[in-house]
Parts: sequence; C-alpha cells; structure tokens
Amino acid sequence: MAELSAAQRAASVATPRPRARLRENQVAWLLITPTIIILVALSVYPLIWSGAMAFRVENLFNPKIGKWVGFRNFDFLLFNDDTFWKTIWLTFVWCAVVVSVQLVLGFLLALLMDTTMRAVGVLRTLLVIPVFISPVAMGLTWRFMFEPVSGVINYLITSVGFDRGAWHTATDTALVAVMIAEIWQWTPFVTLIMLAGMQGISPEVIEAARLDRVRGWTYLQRIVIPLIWPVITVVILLRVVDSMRIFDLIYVITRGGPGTATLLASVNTYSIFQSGRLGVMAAYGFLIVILINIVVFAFLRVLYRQEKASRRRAPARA
Amino acid sequence: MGTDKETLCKQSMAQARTLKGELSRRRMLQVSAATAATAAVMRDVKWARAASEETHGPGWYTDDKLTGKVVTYTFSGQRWGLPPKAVVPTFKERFPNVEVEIIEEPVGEAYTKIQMRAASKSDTFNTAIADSNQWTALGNIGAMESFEPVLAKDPGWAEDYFNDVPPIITNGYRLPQNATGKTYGLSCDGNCKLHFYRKDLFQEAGITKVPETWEEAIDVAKMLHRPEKDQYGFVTTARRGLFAGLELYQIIMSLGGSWFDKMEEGGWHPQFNTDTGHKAFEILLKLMEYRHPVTLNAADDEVNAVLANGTAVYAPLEWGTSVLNNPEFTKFAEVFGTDIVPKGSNPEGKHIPLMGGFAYYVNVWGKDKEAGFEFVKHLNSGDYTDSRIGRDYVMNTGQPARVSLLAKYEDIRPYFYGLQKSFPLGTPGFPWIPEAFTVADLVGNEVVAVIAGEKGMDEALKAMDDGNTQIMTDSGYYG
Amino acid sequence: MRSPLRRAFDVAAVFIVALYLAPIYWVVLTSIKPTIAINSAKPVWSFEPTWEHYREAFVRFEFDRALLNSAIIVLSATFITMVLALFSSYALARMKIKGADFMSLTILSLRFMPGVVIAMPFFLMFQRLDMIDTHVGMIIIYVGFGLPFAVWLLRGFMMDIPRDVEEAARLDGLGWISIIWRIILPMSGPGIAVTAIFTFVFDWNEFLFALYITQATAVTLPIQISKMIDLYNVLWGTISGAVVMQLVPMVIVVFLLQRHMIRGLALGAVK
Repeated sequence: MAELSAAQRAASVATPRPRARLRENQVAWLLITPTIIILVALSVYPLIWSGAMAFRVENLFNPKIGKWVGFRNFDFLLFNDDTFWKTIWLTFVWCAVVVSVQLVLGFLLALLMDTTMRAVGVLRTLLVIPVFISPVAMGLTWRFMFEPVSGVINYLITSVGFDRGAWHTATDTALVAVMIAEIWQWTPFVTLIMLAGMQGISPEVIEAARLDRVRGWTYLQRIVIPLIWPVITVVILLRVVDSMRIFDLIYVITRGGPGTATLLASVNTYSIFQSGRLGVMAAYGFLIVILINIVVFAFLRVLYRQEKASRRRAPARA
Repeated sequence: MGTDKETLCKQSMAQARTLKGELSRRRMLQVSAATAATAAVMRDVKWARAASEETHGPGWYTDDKLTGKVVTYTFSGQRWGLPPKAVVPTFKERFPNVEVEIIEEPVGEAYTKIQMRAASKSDTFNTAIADSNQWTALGNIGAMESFEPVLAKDPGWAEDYFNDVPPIITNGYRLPQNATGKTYGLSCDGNCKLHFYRKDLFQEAGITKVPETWEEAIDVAKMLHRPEKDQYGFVTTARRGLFAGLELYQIIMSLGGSWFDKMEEGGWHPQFNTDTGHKAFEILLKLMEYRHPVTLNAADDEVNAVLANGTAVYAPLEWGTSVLNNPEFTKFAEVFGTDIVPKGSNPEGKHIPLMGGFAYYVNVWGKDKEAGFEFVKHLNSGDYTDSRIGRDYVMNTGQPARVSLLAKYEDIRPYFYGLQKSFPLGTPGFPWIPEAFTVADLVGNEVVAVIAGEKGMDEALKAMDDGNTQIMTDSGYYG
Repeated sequence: MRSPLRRAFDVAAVFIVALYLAPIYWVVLTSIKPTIAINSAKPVWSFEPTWEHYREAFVRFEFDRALLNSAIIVLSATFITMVLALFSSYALARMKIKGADFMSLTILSLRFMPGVVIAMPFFLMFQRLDMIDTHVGMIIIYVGFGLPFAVWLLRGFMMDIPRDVEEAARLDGLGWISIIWRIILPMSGPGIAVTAIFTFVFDWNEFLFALYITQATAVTLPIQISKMIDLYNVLWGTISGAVVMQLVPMVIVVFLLQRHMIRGLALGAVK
C-alpha cells in the first residue's frame, strides 16, 4: 500500500498548483480531525493507564499493594512463565490454520454461489447466517454439540460407523474443535466478499476465456484468482486481524483448556485479568501487540508485493 | 410435614394465579418460576386459599414513609436472579413507596465487575451481591456500609438471624472475618461442596452406605464406572482456573492439611508441596481415572448437565445446586442423594466441606441507603418476619443460608439435607484474603496441567508453592 | 445458457448450503425442545415441541429490549464510523498529510491490543464521564474501535480510484464536498460496502466492552445471551430460542439487501 500511494503521490506532485495545495492541506486536516480527536480521546487514558500498569505490581482485588517494579512483569513473562510462548505459538498456529482454511473453503463456496440459478438469493442469504450469531451463543452451542458422550456430533459420527471424538474435552483435539467452530462461523463472510469479487469480473473477460477454451483449473488460475486478488487481500487482512483477537468463542468453549491446549493469547490475558493480576496482564498486552505487529506487517509487505505483481500479470480488464 | 408442604404449594400457586391478573413482564417471570418449581409437588395436591396475616412473624413491620429506590446487582442464574425478585411483592407490602430494581449480571464475569464498580466509587446502585472471598477486597477500599446500626435497631431480628445462620457463614461477611468483626452484609445464600450420588445405582450395586472416606469414594467410582454403557463413575469441575484448584484444596483440607501454615503474621507459607498435598493430589488423580470425558473441561454447568442426563453418576465433591432436584431438568431428580463430602482416612482426616455462598452488602456511595438496608434485611428474613418470604425465596430456586429454612423445605429440596449436615463443619472455600482469586486461579491452573498430562505432580505442587509465595511477597505478607 | 456441469454445481451448492447449516437446525430444534429432552443421554429427535424457551427469553431475559439496544447502538455506530472513516480515509489517501502512512499504521496496530487490557481503564474513564451504561457511551466505544480499521481499509480502496477523474471534476469547478459525494462515494462503493459490513458484524457480535460498560439500560444481545449461562446449568433452550429470534430480522434484512450488496460490492471491486 505504501508503495502504491507513493507512486500516485509522485504523479500528483508533478503538476504543482500552490494555491490549491494550500487549500488541499487545510481540507485534509479538517476531514481528518474528528477521527483523530475520537481516537486520541479514547486511547490516551487507556494507553497511559495500561502502560503504567505494565511496570507495576497491581492486584485488582487488593489496590493497596501497588508498587513500581520496573521490567519485572516483562521479565517474568518472557523468561519465567511456562505458558507465555505457548500462547503466542498457539495464536499464530490458530491464525494460520483458520485463515487459510477459511480462504480455501470460502473460495470454493463462492465459486458454487457464483451462478445464475433462480434461488441463488435465498441460498446466499442462508449461507451468511452464521456470521450474525453472537460467538458467545454459538460457542455454547458448539460445546453442547461436541459433548463427547451425549452430544449430537458424536451421535451422528457413530451412527455412520466412526469412533467417537473427544473434541473440546481432550488436549490433543481441543484446538481442532474450536477451529471448526471458528471456521464454520466466518467462512461465509469470506465467501460473501469473494463472491462480490467474482461478480465483478466483466462478462467480456469470461466470454473471451470461453472462446479461448480456457477452463477448469487454468481458468481459475489465470483469470479468476488474479482478477479478484485485491479482494482476496482484503479478506486475508480482515480475517488475520480478527482471528488474532479471537476471544469469546474459545472462552465459552474451553476457557483455554483442557490444560493449556487452547490457551490463545487473548484468552490467557483475560484469565490473568480475572485472577486480578493487572500488572502482568498489561505487560502481556503490550508484548502481544508488539509480536503480532511484527508478524502482521511482515506479512502485509509480502502480500502487497504479490498484489502488485498480480496486477501486472492480470489480463486487461473491461 | 406433608400438610405443610401441601399448603405451601397451594399458596405459591395461588399467588401465581392472582399475579397473572396484573401481569407485568417482570412479575411474569416470578410466576413462571414459581409454577415451575412447584409443578412437581403439585401433582397430587388441590387448591386452597392464599396466605394472609397469619403468616406474619414477630419481625413484621411496615413503613409507608420510607421512599427511594433499591437498585440491586445480582448474578444472573436462577439461584441468584429469581429469589430476590420473588420476595419483592412482600417487600412492597411492607414498604409500598420504595421502588425495587434488580439487575442480573453474567455470573462468570461478575467478580471483576463488582470489584471495578467498587474501585471506581460507583453510585449507580445501593445494594449488591458479593462473595465472602471478596469481602476483604471490598472492605479494603471501604466500599461497604456497616450493618451494625441497622441490626442494633432491631435486636430481635438480629438475634434470630445469627441464631439461624451458621457462624461459618456469618463470620465471612464481617470485617475482619471472624466472630469479633463487624457485620457488613447479610447472607441469604449458603452453599458448600456436596457429595452427590444416585440412590438407584447404589441400590443396584449393593452399596449400602454413602462413602465416608476418599478410599471408599474411589471404590464406589470404580464400581459404578461402566464406560461401555455410557456410565462414568466420577465427574467434577476441572476447567481451567479456580474450579480445579478448589477440588484439590477440598481434598487437602479433608486430610487435615491447609493452604497456609498459619494465617497470621509469621505465617502465610503455602503448604501444597507437602506430604498432605501429594496425598491429596494422588486421591484426585485416582478419582480422575473414572472421570466422565467432559471433566477436563467442565465447570459446574457441564458437570450438572452430564449428571442430569445420566452419563455421569457420582460426584463426591461438587457444589450444591437445586437443578439436580428439579424434575423438569433431569429425569433422575428423585434419585439424586446428597451427603457430606468424604474425609481422609488418616487420623487427622475430617469432614470439612468448602463453603461457598453469597451475601448482599450496601454500597457506601449509593443513594437511598435506608431502602437498601431494608431490602437486604427483608431478603434475608426467615419466618421471623413473614413465612411467605422464606417460602417465595425457596420456591423460586433460592438456596438459603438459614438452617430453619433448609430444614423446613427439605421435602421439596432433598439436597437441603446435605447442606444442613455440612454447614456446621464447613471451612472457607478459599483463604479469606483479598488475593483469594489470584492464588486460587494459580493453583487451579497447575492442577489442570497435571490432569491434562502437561506437567508432573511434583513440579506442579512446587509451582503452586512458588507462585503463592511470590503473590504473598508482592502483597507484603512477609513484612 | 447453462452447461450440465454448472447444473450439477448448482445442485451441489444447494446440498452443501443445506449441510453447512446443520448446526442451525440443531439450534432451532433445541429451541423448541423441553429441557428434560435436552438433558438426555442420547440426542432426542421426537418430542412434544414447547414455546417455553421463547417465552423465557422474552419474559425473564427481556430479549426485545436487548435486541432494540443492539440495533440502536450498532446501527448508529456503524453509520458514524462510516461517515468519519470516509472523510479521513479520503484525506489520508489523497491529500498531503505528513506522516500519513505512519499515522494510519499506528492507528491500526492498536487494534491488536487484547480488549481486556483496556477494558478496565475504559470503565474507569467512562465512570468519571458518567457514560457507563448509556447508549451514547457504547456508540462512542464502537466508533472508536471500528474507526482504525475502517479508515485503513477504505484508504486502500480509495487509493485505487484513478486520480484523473477527480482532477477533471476539480477543473469543472466542483468543491471538496461535491467531489467526495459525487465522485469518491460512488466509485468506492464496494470498499464502503465491505467496510460497513465488517464494522456492523464486528459491533453486532462484540462482547467484552459491552460486558464491562453496560449494566442495565444499554445491555446488548451478546451480553443478554451470556446471562443465560447459569453457573449451574446453561439454558440451552433459551439460548437457542434467542439465537433463532435474533436471526429472523437479520435474515430478512440480508435477503432484501443481498442483491444490492453483492452488486454494490462487485461494482468496482475489480477494475
């Protein structure tokens, strides 16, 4: 994105018009000021508060004991806490698996939905239902369905001859179980946006491809994917950001357990909060922000480089 | 007792009917709850007239000059949400010019919210529910108003209350939390770890007495464990967090152990990495061999769900609850028996159930505190003020702390038997210190890590002691 | 003209969507099951349906009020977020503001902070401002949380709009407002649609802040639903009933909008 804007800005600078520039600048600030005011007003106090907390010992249930302890909280998390790195690792595994499965599934579903069939409106409407269910409610429902002895999922699985799964109640399957819940809920969102991208491909391009007998995998690879790549980029970003912050779904299904099997960063932060250790919680929050930002922005760079490349590769658009 | 029960149900139903006439939405909920609660016992009783002045006790008085609004925070969930609403009609009879608003909050997150509200000196409420394990935490920030003047003004009521509610409960709501402390809240909700078993299965298996010791409990779990027919011999709450910590602590206590060596200056040294700690953990792990699969992830709701559907059949250290006696909730309602939790078979071993339960306090920064005091007092009244109060409280799934109410309604709520037997022997569910949740959460996470196979027992017990010591050091307990 | 292959795909689509929604059938089924049938060792398929759970959701949990609160808060927050985001993303995308990139990245990176870390300072701050448990307070929070991402997302879309169109309009003497209204708005339609949907869904499902900032009057749906988790039993039936009722208006709105939505999204998503 940065590269793009730089190029465009260079183009605009090529035709300098001093008076307009001045006005432009003023207008820009006028337009952006309300946003800045809101963001600053909402983030200054919380940031200062949690920034201070990160360097203190504080207990929610015993405010009297607060004191400055320097980097002790960070030191504890990074070097002495046996769960910290596991939670970070789980968060990234979670994000990678969930987002990639959602992308593939979402893309396939979008292909199926990209049709002229008469009932397609109903079909699309029905498909996006999961997105609108509160994750708390859906998490509970999944927990109920996953129940290993009397749950409906195992009931159906055993009735077609497979063995029971332990799902959210065993350390080795719990993460998969919560992933299923997350993937189920957000794949339709991916589908919806990809579908929009596909519908935007102009009929001429499709017709041309048909005449050239480009079809099947080649058609997808050469025409569809490059053309909707910008849309895919947006979807990836949305899902990466959101899946990193996942909280309520996992919290109601497993609360991070069994053991630490599903203890993602956000879930762990919450349970630290509930135990009242505000200092450790704040330090944890800052470490997560730093680590996630490093990974996400490295990832973004790659993504945009690819986007630019794919734009060059893409066939002429109508 | 039979006729008493009949009258009670009739009264409750009658009240339900009359209320339906002036059906406000909030009222309707009391009605529906009352109906549901009594449905079971109503099967063979007929109709009778409603309650009257005869129900008044010596503590009854009214005051139409008292005005204002009671704003109460309670937990959502039938045990806390419904009973206070059920006693509002009788409260309005006594104080017609006081408004009452009862706000239910998600129970899982309530502790932190209560604490945050108190820390910010919120004036949006005048009464709220809280845990005895949070009492010093709230007391430390001066959030609670003393009940002493109110009790002094009505000595008859106070005497009745303190005679009826066991000291292990009332002491928890004093500051400091012992018999000499001043009362800052009244408890209408008593709970403790109970021993749930299935009478029918005991009979089938030829088990003639409820297990007394942990060894006997393990044998019973083994005997009833039939995984091939979806019947598991043991279930408990081993979800991450404090749930699992209290399972271990319960066993440690019953072996004669403790959380700290001494709970006073010079003490505060955690006692998990000890012989008792090891023995207790071994008992827990043995029981876990017969666990229902949900155990590793279960909080009380999941435990009760599998007990209700009959796939788990034995829970020797579960928190008391009325749901297992509710025939609309489980078809085994009639055959669930309760008793006191097992004890250690060693000489120091004793029956010593962990106590739970809650009390209402009056917010220092709240408005209309006078009305708040009256409401909390009313809520905690047994027959001393009016027999309808206790009845409405119990009929709407309340779980009273008053022994008189437990005894009176034992026929309708069979598990009250277990509570009555346990209360006199109880011990605080957590050490009564502000950091109660902090230390319990730490212990719980370690316990779960061992059960889940992520850690060894010795390593976990050591981590409990180290973690506790660090927390206690930070809080300045070692001077 | 539809090829046989396409036809086969269409049949598959119907089938797959039907399968995909299996959890929803289970929710619907649970919502009309008597509690005793829900608490059964094996799933029960035949039972006498009951409306008890729906009644409970309305009477005890004031479902209608929570739905109304959610609608008011989420719709207003989405609208305000979109208006503000439109202005500032345009400014960031098109105008000379020093450090624009840095600014938008900083704004965005704050979104990765786990919500609970800032829940308490928010509570303390709102308490002082007397905005706890108000609709306005919730709207402000949601706008604040939606903005960084909305701005960043929209900015990306806007930078894709060819600059010459705008230049031409300016030469024609159009002012800033008209340019945004007549040129930018229609041309970034898909971006706006994506951003608005995302903002709406995020706010609609948001749990943590609603949990701490609301108490009685401004309680939103996710909070109301979480009240149905008793410590000792989960009211599966009531929760299912609430989910079903919450979905009905959603499904109607989505059905009415989906044609426009997809077309809106498609209009310029790929240029």
